[in-house]
Amino acid sequence: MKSGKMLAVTCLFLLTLLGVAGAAQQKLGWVGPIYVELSESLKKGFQDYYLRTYGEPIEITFVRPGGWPVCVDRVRIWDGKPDADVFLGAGAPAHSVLASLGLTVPYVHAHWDMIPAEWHGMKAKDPEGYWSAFAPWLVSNMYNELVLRMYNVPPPRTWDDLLNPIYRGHIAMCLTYASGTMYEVVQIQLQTRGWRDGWAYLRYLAAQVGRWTTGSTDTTHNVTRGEYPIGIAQPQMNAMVARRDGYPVGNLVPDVTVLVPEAAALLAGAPNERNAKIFLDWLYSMEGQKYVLQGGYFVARTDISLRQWQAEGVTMASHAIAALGGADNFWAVDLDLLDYDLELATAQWDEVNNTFDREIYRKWEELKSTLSQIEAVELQIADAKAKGADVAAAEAKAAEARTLFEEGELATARTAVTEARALLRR
Amino acid sequence: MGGAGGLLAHPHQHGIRSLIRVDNLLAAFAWVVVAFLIIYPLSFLVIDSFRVAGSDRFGLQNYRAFFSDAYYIGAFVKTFVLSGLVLLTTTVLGLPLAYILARYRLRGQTVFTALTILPIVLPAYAGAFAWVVFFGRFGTLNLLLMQWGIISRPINFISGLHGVVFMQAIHLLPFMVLSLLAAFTSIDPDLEEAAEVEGASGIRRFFTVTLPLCTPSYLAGAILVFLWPFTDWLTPMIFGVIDLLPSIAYINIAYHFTDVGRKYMGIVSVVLSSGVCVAAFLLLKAWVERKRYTGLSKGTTLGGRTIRPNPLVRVVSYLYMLFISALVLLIPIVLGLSGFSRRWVLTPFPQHWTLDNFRTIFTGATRLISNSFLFSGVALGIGVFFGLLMAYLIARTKALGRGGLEFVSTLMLVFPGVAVGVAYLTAFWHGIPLATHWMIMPLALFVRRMPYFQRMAHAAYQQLDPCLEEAAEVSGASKLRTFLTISLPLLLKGIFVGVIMFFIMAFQEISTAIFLYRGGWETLPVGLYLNWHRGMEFGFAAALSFMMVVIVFVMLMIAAKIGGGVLNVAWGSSGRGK
Amino acid sequence: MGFIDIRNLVKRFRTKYGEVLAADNVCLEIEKAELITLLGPSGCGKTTTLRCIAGLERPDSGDVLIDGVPMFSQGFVPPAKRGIGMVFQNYAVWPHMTVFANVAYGLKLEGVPRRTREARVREMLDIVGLAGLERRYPGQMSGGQQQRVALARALMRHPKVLLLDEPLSNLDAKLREKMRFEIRGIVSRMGMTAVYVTHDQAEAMVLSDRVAIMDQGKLVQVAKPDEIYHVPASRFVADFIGTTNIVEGQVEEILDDTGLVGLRTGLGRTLCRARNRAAVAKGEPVYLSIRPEDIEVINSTHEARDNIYTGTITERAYLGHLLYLFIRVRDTVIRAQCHPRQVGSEGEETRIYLDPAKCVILPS
Repeated sequence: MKSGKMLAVTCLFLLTLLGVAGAAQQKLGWVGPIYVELSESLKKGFQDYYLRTYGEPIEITFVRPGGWPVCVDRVRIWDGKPDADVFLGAGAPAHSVLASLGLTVPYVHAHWDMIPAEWHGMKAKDPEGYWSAFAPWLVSNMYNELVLRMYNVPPPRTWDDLLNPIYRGHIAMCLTYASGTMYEVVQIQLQTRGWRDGWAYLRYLAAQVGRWTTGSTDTTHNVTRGEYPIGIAQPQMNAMVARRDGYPVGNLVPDVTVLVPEAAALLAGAPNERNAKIFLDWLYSMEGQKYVLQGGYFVARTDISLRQWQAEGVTMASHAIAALGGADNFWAVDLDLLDYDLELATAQWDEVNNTFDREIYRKWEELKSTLSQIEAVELQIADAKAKGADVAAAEAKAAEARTLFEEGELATARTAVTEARALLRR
Repeated sequence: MGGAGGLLAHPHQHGIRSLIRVDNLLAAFAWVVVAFLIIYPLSFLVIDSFRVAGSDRFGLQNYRAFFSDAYYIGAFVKTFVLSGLVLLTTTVLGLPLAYILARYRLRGQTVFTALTILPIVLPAYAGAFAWVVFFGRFGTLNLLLMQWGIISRPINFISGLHGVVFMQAIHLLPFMVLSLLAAFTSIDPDLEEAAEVEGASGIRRFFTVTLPLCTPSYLAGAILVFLWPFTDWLTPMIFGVIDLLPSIAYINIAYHFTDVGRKYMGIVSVVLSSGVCVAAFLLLKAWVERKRYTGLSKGTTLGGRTIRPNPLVRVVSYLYMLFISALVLLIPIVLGLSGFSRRWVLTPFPQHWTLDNFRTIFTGATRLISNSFLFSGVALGIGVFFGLLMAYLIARTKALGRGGLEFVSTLMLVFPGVAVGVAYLTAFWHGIPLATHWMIMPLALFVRRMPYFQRMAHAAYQQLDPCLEEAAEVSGASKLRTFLTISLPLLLKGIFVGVIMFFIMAFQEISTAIFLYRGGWETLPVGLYLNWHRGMEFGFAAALSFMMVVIVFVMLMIAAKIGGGVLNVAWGSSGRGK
Repeated sequence: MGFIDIRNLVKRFRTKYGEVLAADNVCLEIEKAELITLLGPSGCGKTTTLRCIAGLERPDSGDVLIDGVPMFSQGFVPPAKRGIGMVFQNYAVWPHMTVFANVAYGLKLEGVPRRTREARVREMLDIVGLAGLERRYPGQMSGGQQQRVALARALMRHPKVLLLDEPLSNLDAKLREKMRFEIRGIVSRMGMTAVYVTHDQAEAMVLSDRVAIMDQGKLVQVAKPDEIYHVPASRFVADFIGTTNIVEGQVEEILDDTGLVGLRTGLGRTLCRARNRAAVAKGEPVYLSIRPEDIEVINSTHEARDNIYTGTITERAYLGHLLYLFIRVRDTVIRAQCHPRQVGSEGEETRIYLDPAKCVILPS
């Protein structure tokens, strides 16, 4: 009985607590997949700015129900009656879907021209004004220096490096549909190598994987904790922030990569449209961009000089310069970038994901065992060859097995391995 | 089911009038609540599962696809196997523990008993993260072993299915121990003594008499343990296991983006696995209950037998309890260490100590704490009222449709939080805009956690001899009066565990909250999730988890104080005043 | 019309084995201030009938009238409104209340002022012999004391009807016997109408004004205890009450002049007194029942009367105050009750006499 009363009293007390808060007049709501470090930084910066400029406080709410696909789905469920004003974060695929569903509306903010239209053939803002990048980054990989040293292997440099057997079992990779970044990694392979060779590469890569993760943050966990020293498909700034915090991790921008224009857009039917527009104007201002950088993301304006900011005392500027390989502006990074076909990538979303799911992820164990069988027979052939035996027939069979593996005919590939072994024995 | 039976039971002369009875009115009320808060929102999902992707048509395609896809069938089987393994592990770990606590008179029993309840205080995901820190490839244990030169390469202790089994088993151990303790302490000593007289001694007596007598209570705990792996998507994913139904369902539903077919498949797997599991379990329960042991529940104040064990048994018992305690305590210790430190990776122990994490919580995150208390508290109030009503209807009446009520409430034990979250948002945003009011949060918690309380209340009801209530009715008391003056006080001990458990389970609920929260409604677990940024700073999230553990444990202790001793509160051992 | 009038009561239960008729068209009238016992083996429906009177169970059809008021057919009268008191088999004393609170519960509900309540409870506790134990909790009391609390609680509101459901079955033999007389005394002193359910025939015999015997949901005989004993209405009753010898037979002749009936039984030719001669027809198969104490063991070998048989003693059972001899006559074993000093050892031949006036013919 007593506990019941106490509970009631506690509830009442907390109810009043809740009632007292939330009395601010001005409101602004964000939804999106950005990390809390950034949202906290932006909150602080914009609240200061708003109070300074308009003389009254503003209450900001931020909802992040999960990764960007979850955020997109949330907006879809709101269906024109959004519980936020700005979609904050996510790359081009998310924004083009939101725009095509009419869930965002075009808004050309005050600093629209300071954002490049495109970069190495990749869009950084929408020509129709729906969205623009405020925190661009490159799809990259991440590694744990300390753990790699313990295992006595060098960090991989290129996509092909990752196929080196020394990395087998050390790689953490994400399910494609659980991470936009991972999807882009898949698209990079398909677009640079072509459909057949792209999938062949992905099959080899899968055989190297030690752990499938369920999101790029999950991958980051695994790499920083040393569970798996190499993580595929990482937002470029993650390593920057981790290094700043003293973690022994490094960032690898691979030989070919793509841009993710982490963007902001105005939601259709935004309840606080005026404040949302004020916010977007501020976000792309020099002041707003500084808060973006301090929130642990790169910055998007073409007219930014990181060295000048460093001189001004923006603490993250030096980390950003280091992470960008000494570049003074994000867009000044000199890289071999893929001429990425975003339209194609977006159109192929379902098909590629389902193929990856069925052909790579679900066949993971089979891929590993088939490849190891192929490699075993190739070793035997090499041995026999060294001893001067005639191995031409077996070699041809083994090569056939490899081709079959690359094309996903795993059972047939294993039969070919058996045949190669038989030929060798003869 | 029961409903049809009730109808047939009063055929001729009492006809319609007998249908308008208080019990049936209460059942109707329960059905209205269930319909509004469970059936209505979940029907959106079920309808979705019949949609054909890429068209406006409906059909069985998704179900056909599920059954023709070896991957989904395999995941279903794997989840079943996981559930079985978890149940087996909790049983193997829990049986001796419950027996020691119930039967042996040992020093420090109260402390050990309190410790066994600890895992339920911890959210499973926080425990899993703590284990990665301790048991991971470069966690404390491996690093120490490597430092001491015992191993040269790290050993994989937890990554994989075995880690999931072990983690979930530890997390669910309290359910098992509590149920078995209730059973052991309520067995009529005569029954065991009778067996002893018949010549069955020691182990034989335990397996032939004691254990069979425990079966009904064991089942009450076992159902909670068995169904848990069907909703826990996060723990397996932390240990790198994805091919389990709840994880697949989570990813498919939450991350489908433009591929609605994937979303539908996620829903199909939820719908199918929930239905199959609940049906299977209720069938099993019905089958076991056919061999009803009526002798079990007669004594209301029995404490069971207690024995002073011989020295050997005592030493073994202490060692066993210490082993379990160490496993259980490891989690809050690791969380505490992480909470008070920064950047604790790749070293056996933290190097950089700080109070920043807690400072941040107390300056910036008090809202999280107050929200958690508010939502869980309101949910608790509704849940206790409704849970008792459900338990009453199911255990004591022949009201129409009570079988269906039990089915639906058991279903909620299997329905993953993601599905509930999406369904609630879909159902209560447009149309009935309940999701715009904060009451949606406690209501969702209520719906998800009430079944746990209801099962406890139900078990308590089964232990209560109906004669005690009938005596009051005959003495002139109305049904309500009887409930308030006789049933409730006598049930109190039994449901107290349920109340605590409800609150704790509601307090740590994350899957649904993450879908339903609006700015300003963040709870502690939501805060924990949001602050889990980029995987590097474990400290703040660990500090939040540690806070949760402390808060809940303090509440438990206060409750124990009020109820007179943890032991008394938690499992109503023989009252000291008697 | 009786004070309690049970009319065509039917109650079915569904079990896993199918439907069970717990009460099969039970009709019974109970007089005011009468103590009637429902007696029968377990599962015979006696408790179900009692619970229908109490309103704890609802019959499928039929009705119960208490003091002329129907309890079911014109709207269900809940137990609380029936003016009954009930004592349960396992006491059902509320463990969370003191003795005082238990006993005073009903009065408190009635709104009896505290002062009066205390006085009346004290008075009642005196009657049941629990004076001074008001503050105790049931957990601190013996079974017998708890039973008294339950009785006091049931009597407290001066119910029109007192229902007792095997109230003594959980007590030890000595206490049970003592409580029987106490309950009888208290009930008759208070002039209460009481329905007492038991499976213990001795209890029923001692306590009851009338005994109602039930078997498989049916009422088979309602009569005063001595009538039940001496003139059982069926083989089941004869067998169930006390011990008896049952011998199968067939009506051979009806002797109009003496009022006797001649049977052909396993013993030979047996003369019996027919209570209702019209009911027996020649050639009809019947049972003959005779109590062991009505069998005379004849020591003299010369007597020649009807109903005298020669047999062999197969077993002696010595009980201190009496002796049972089991005597085999042809293929039938008869149990005879004798004086403990009766001679004759196992294997010896002896003669028995069955008094025709004490042989009861039962329908087959």
